[in-house]
Amino acid sequence: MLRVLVIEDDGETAAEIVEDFSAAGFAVTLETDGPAGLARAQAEPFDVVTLDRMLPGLDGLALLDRLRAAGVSTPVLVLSALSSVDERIRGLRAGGDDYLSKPFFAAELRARVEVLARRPSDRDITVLRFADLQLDLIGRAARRGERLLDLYPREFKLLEFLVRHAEQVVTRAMLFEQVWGYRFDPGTNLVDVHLGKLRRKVDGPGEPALIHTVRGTGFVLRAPGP
Amino acid sequence: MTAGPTLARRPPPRLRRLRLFQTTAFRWTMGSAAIVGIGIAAMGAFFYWQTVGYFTGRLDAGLLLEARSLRMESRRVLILRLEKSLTVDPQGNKAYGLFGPDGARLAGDVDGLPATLPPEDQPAPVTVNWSRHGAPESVDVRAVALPLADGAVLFLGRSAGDLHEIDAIVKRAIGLAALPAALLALAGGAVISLGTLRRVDAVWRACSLIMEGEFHRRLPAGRRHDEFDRLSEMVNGMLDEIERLVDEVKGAGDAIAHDLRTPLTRLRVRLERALDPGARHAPVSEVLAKSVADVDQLLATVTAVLRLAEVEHGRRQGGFRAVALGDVIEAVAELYAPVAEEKEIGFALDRGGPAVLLHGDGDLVFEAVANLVDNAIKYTPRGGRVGLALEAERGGAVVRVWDTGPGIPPDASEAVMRRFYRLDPSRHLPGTGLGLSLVAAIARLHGFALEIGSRPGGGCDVRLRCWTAGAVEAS
Repeated sequence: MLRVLVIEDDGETAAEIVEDFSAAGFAVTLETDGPAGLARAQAEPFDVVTLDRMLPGLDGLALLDRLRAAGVSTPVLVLSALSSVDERIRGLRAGGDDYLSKPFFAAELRARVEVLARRPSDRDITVLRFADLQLDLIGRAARRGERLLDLYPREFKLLEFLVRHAEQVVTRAMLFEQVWGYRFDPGTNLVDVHLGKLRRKVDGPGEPALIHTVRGTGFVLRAPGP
Repeated sequence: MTAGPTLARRPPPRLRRLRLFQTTAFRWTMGSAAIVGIGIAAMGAFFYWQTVGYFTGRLDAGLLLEARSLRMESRRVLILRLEKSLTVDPQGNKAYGLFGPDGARLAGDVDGLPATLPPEDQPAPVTVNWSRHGAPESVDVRAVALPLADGAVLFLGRSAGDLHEIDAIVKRAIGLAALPAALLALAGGAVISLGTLRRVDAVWRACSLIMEGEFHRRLPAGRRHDEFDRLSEMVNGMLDEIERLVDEVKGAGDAIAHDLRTPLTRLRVRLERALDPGARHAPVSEVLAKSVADVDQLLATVTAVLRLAEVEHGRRQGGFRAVALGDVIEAVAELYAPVAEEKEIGFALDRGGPAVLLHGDGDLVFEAVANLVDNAIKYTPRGGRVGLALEAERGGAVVRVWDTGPGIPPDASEAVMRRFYRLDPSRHLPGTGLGLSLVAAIARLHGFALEIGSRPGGGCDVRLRCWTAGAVEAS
């Protein structure tokens, strides 16, 4: 069970987050001010902390600073009503692992929290495997079973991201940020088009589908059922 | 919330009307009048001092001359001459006296010697008594006292009556000149001030009306091109710009409301029908799916408005650094080529010329170019062509995005950059009508020029001219 600490002073937002996380089966702890949040984050082990940028008592970024100074490396997702890029950079620089601006969709937050919680700890892996997929990170070659996949570099990166977060829902915004490195609303079905191309290459005719679309949220790489 | 909604417009601050004596013109006139007054007084004093000096000099010279000729005479002749001299004294200003060694008067009209005798060779002011007009009276004279050989003393004095008259004349002259001068200064100051006041009053009236809500009004500006006209022209230029901005904000507000209203109405009608048990409607899941799509469209619009505001007001120039334009173009091409491919549109990338580095925000430049390419693909029908090209230019570069779509009529090339403006034929396509506004805002932030033109064979030819001073060509 995923243990999540939510530090959020706005009652409505907090209730929304707690409800959504509980429904997804997370164990949620809520703190509504800075000092209490900091104490809790240091006292108990959590998989992820979601941290509001503006908190009574202790500012979110200052809290993050102290948390990192105390040697706590729990992944932290900073939530903020400030959407500007500069704010985001400040949030990440202060030791945050991800940044989401308010208002947000619950599904988007949940997907990001799951990805943070299950962040691959070993970055030195040279070969990624999922179901019958095999990605050689050194040779930049991908195979499905015996079939070599003919992927462009960006498609390889996209597939790598999906494999690293297999069985987790990833949103379009997350893919656009993580795979392309851009953070704006691409408007059209841009990500879908790229994913569609990748899907046609990965899921060949007659093969069980690995890449699935999650309606209204994003995509998930899922192992075929038995 | 501490205060309730305030519906009444706050009354504009009242301008206090300027009074005559408060005008700068009046104060300056008074100031210069005072300076002129001091000048006149100083001149009068100088004139007085010079005149008195001159007359005193003449008096003294006469005295010394007379003394020199009298002291040579014998006692008898001296007395005779003294008497004679006193009888021919029409102005009556001679105070002569010959006194024996014992102090007794031997001749003359002076009653007695003064306590301290003036020197014999340098006339000095002395007060003596005489009885010329019957009763003894004291008189101020300039005098010399000559000791004679036998111990007698010859006193020769001349009263300074002339000097008193000169004194009076000079004072009268100053007084006569100063009064009209002061009156003239006052009148002049008032006239100049009234002129100023009239101009200021006109501005005051215009400003009051503008503050009361007549925003189209302007300050009066004459043809004289004097300092008042220059000021009015400047303020009017400022008012024009403010009015334009206010109109734009109003227009944007109206446009947002209008743009949100249509999908909201559609959404409401659909949901209401689904709720009505008697109405025929599509299956609920379909109704909900369509509703979600409508809400997504609404959200996209609101997000785009916020994004536009962020770019326009963020002034993110702090994040400017060197951007390799070629890399940006390639990344955009890589991102959009599959989209074009899916729509069976031929996508041509041409990044010729040397590498171009410019000073800017790489993410925003990317967003701008991506928006242009996105538009091109969106509005080009299946089977058409879209091109993205980077052309080096003196001092910068041009990013060209062209397509074989319907194009933009020349008379609309300005309008499409306005918020929410959409050409009628494209209203059915998804979009917020904010894409080009955003590109224009990003271009403005960087000092780029966005030009929307047409291709000879039909279709758009949009150019983003990056001619910033910071643009450098690297080999």
